[in-house]
Amino acid sequence: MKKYCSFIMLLACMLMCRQRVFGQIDSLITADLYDATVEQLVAALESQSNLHFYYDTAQFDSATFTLQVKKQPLRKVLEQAFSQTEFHFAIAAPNVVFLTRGTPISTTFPSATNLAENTDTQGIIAKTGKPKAAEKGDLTTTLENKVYEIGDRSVPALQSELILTGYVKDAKTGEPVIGANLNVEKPSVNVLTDQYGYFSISLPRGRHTINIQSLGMRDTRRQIQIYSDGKMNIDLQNQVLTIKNVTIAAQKIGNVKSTQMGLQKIDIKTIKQVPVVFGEADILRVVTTLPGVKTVGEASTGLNVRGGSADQNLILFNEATIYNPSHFFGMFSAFNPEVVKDVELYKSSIPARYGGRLSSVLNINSREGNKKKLAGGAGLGLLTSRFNLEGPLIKDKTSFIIGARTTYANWMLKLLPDQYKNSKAGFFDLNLNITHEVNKKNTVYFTGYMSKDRFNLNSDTAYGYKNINLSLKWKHIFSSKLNSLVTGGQDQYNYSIYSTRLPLNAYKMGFDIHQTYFRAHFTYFLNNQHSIDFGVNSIYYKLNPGYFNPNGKESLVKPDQLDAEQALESALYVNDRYNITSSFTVEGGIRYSVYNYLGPKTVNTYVHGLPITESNMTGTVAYEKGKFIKNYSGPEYRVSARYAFSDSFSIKAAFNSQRQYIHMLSNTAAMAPTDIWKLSDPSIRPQYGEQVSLGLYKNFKANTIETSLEVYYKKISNYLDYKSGANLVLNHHIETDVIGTKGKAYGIEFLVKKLTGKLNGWISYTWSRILLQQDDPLAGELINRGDFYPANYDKPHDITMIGNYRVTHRFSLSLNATYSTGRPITLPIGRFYYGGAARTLYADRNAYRIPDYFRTDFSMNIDGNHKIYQKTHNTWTIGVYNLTGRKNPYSVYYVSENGAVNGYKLSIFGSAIPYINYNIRF
Amino acid sequence: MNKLLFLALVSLATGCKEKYISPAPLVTTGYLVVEGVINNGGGVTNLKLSRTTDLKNNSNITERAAIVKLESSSNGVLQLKENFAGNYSIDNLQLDTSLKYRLNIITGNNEQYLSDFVKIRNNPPIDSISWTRQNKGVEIFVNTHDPQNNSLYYQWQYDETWEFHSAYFATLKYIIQANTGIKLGVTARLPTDPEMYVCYQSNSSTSLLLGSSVKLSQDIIHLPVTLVPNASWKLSVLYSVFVKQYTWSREGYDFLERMKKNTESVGSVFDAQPSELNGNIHCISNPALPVIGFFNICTVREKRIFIKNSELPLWGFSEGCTTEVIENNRDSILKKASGLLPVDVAKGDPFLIISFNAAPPSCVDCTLRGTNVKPFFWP
Repeated sequence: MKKYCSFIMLLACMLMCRQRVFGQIDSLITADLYDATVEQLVAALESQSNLHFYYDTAQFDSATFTLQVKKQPLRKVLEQAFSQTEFHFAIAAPNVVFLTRGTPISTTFPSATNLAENTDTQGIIAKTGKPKAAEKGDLTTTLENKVYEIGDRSVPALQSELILTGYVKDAKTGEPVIGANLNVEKPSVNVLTDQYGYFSISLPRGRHTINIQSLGMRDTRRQIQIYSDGKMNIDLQNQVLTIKNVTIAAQKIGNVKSTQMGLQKIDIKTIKQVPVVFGEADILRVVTTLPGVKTVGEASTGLNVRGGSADQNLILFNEATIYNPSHFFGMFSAFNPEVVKDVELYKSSIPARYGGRLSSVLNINSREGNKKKLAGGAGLGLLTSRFNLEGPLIKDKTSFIIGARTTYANWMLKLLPDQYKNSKAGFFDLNLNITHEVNKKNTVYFTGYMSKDRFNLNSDTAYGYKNINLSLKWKHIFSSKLNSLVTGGQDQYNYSIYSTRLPLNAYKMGFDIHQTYFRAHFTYFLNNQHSIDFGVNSIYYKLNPGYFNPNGKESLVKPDQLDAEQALESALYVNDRYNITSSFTVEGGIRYSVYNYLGPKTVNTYVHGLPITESNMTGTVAYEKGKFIKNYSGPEYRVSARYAFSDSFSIKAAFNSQRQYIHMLSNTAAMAPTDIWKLSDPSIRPQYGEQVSLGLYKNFKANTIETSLEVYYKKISNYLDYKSGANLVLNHHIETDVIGTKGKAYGIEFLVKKLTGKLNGWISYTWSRILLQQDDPLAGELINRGDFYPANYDKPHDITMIGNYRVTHRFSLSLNATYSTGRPITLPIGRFYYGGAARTLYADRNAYRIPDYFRTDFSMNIDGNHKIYQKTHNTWTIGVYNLTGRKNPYSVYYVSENGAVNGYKLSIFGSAIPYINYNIRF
Repeated sequence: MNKLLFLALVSLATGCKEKYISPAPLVTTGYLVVEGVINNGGGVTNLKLSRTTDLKNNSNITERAAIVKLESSSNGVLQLKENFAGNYSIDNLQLDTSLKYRLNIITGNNEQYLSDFVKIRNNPPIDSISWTRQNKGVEIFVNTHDPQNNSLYYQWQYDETWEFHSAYFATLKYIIQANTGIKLGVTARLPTDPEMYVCYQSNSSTSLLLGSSVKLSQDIIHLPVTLVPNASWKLSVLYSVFVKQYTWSREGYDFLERMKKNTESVGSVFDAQPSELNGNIHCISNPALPVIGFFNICTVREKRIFIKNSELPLWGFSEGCTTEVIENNRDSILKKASGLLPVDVAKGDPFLIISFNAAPPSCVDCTLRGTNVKPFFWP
């Protein structure tokens, strides 16, 4: 509150002054006063100068001053008079002096340290000096009240629209603030900062007030007087929750105002509140609570977005593609929560800059390191430990953040169901991000990521897999209208299995993916009506689909290696966002993708027009290095429109088409680490998907409650399914074992979200279906006689509630509940005797369902004290996963045991699992 | 913290696997199941025909009175005879290896089934059956090699037989009053009394044992067949395992592997989903009708080994039997020896037994757990 006091006093002085006397600031004063009143003092000073004193007589009531000076300057005289008292003086040019009690007055606005130099125009003329008496806390208020002059006043007003650009940053750490909302009321302009905190806003010449809101940041505003194009950086203060009823404006109106459909964004703070198994804040698990996102089961982090399979999601971690985003058989996601900033999931209108997957883009943004000081954190959980460190390499210019996580989970495996009792598992992940601001126009970002898993599932066979990703990004600002982002990098994924139990058969087998990519993305702000994105992407894939080698001297294993596969996937895209009126916006984009399957490679050929089977194989053709074996290409359309009926209600529609050239081959129900990837080739065509969607968005209670309703219909072709008994590993003619099926998915999604207030959280409900069909006898065997059958992850009803109640600022309770229809399974309908035992006869694929799924989790988050200036901050999280202890079946299976057929349900977490987690921040 | 950890341990340890009752309605499937391999080159061929049943039905419904014929690609026909319910047999087949053969079945309800024509598979003799003592017990391996490197796909079945002894050799038996069944006392057993000390038990493989050398540089097999766990009664005296070896085409092997995956290894986190079982036998009269089975011809190879308890120091087998002393009179037998069998004399001599040792029947009479008929191959 202090910050307001000085202003109130200043105002009070001006209004209530009793005396108007003239003096001179550099006059020398001689005085001899004893126990004089303020009137006497002022009279003495004013008589010897042309100064003008302002004060509130009430404040100086009964105050007395003793002063003995001879030919001293005024400043010294006042210092002497007010020393050892609670009174202050402030001299304002040219000849005004304010006298106050308790709080000194700042007579100047704070420095323009936040104003970027403007080299294009004449720069900002700020009428400011150095703040002297102003305390830190007053800075924001004074920044808000100050009028910034942008551009050169003398430039004649030729352009009708002027462009203001700049960065929004966290004042404390210097990190960019992503998705901050900048809003100008007249004319109504609303822009969001991009992932680098950059914004560009177009305004008419004149005076404006820009309101800036962002999640977890104090709302602020800037007053500007704009004469020509210019720049201004804005620092936001962290929201320290010390007052009641703070409103955090988390994209308050973003959902209504943006043309984006089906975009969900969650920040790490929300993710950390959601109770999860073993208390490991898990990004992918929280994503599965969003409408339209499903997962096969608890031991799988494979996401199924709007009826898409797990491989139809593009998972980007700072632009790097992560092929296997899970640890520990899929129980944890492979992202260290301490390094992640937020997560965006695009499931409907996918921006034209992204492509290559049918269902969704999951964009995981990591934090940038603290640019001001060294900081870090560490966490201790039942299964993992985490550590992170961040800080400046060059203050305010270069920062780093490093995160590491490792597990000691073997103890837990001993407690798993019998069949896993002798299992072992270990994993770690490492992150390193470096951000370097070369100058105001160039920023360079480096990201390094590695995750590694090793486990064996109660057998002598050991599995291992590894992601390695490196990327370098360069953001360059050409002008206030055009900026670019160029990214290059390499992503790697590999897995291996080895066994040494039988020396004769000891083997090591594996598989790997390498991709090298280059992306250039440009954003051009034509004017407030048109914002154009365009760019080019290119990925060079190199896959080693499999090797099988002897392991040890005695091994008789015959080395086998599948030919490496190469391909180049390129795309050109352009996207225009056109604000026709302030309430009607359309966005249209086209992405033209070209795919070349490249040699060297020996390709099997088949009789044209007959099913692709081994018996129809006619021979092989060898292609040389770099030769185009097969080309696929085609346009992908991204169209969306939004009409806002009011500030809090809008309707949106979108059409989207996608092509996918890389496929995951898996015949297990869940996404397994051993699933291999395959590039499209002459026999395996790219997958193609189209989606139409329609949505209604309405916010209530000053935008604190968001609701949305979205419906969609989706068609997928060339979706890969498998023939019965397909062999997917080390198959030299894999095309004979897969079938391109058709799919259709449709559904309705409902979301109510409240991210502010004591009680916050969201409720989502989805009704959706995903049905597949293989009815082409030429393509191979019919599945379920050519009828539509549900996919493994078809769970029609899905309700999730995520709730958090903040009891005090240091103590909050979280509860989530989720219910979904059981996933489809293939059940036996009969039995027979064969090989000395009764065996089961299976019927139609996915004709039945496992029992419905229901789970509630509970956690308590306890923070240490909230004093900002202390060495460490501690938090405890205590919770229970699966509070009701319900044994949710993960799978149902039948085995012949001692001659009888028995059915079992297997649940992964068949009881309530308590956990505790300790985190420290420094 | 310790308490929480403890709670975590306890909750995790509680069972995660439960019995499951299928919600699927009961359907009488009744599809034909054909099991067996045509044994070319000496020995008996047995083909078993049965029908699939609904899931709750525990019986094995055999297919009786079918006409089962083996047809050659040069139109030769041989018929198999039903020697017992659902078992169709033919002896000492000597087929022409240059020809292909198929199976032709006409069932009692006039359904006709035909298999694809198949070649006669080569099957190398089993080199040896070996065993090693391991932590868990005695593991038995089959060793085979094919110098021509083309057998590649193998299946094995085994029969285990073991000799075991009662804990006590009984020299006494009860004198039983003929009409009341009351035990009056004990008397010496005679050599003509049934054998109660030495017995035999046997067991056959119930899972599909498959192995392939296709990924090896030579057609050499060294694979585990079974494991006799430590201290098992199977190896308390003498144990024998008889292994039969079959070879299959790649398609036939795939069929068996699918059946194995479907019925023996479904349910772990990463197991494949159950898939359909299509073999090489088709119903001609109703092509939509599924048939379970894969027609195959090879020479069945067999090998037997014996393992003695004396080869296994510290085997650890124990019956856990104790005896009780009982007065040799009607009243104390009635009072104290109900449910016990007499073993030997405790006090007195065979002609005047004052008291005797008695033990639970399973410790005395081995026929309760096996047969006292010595198998023909037993040494």
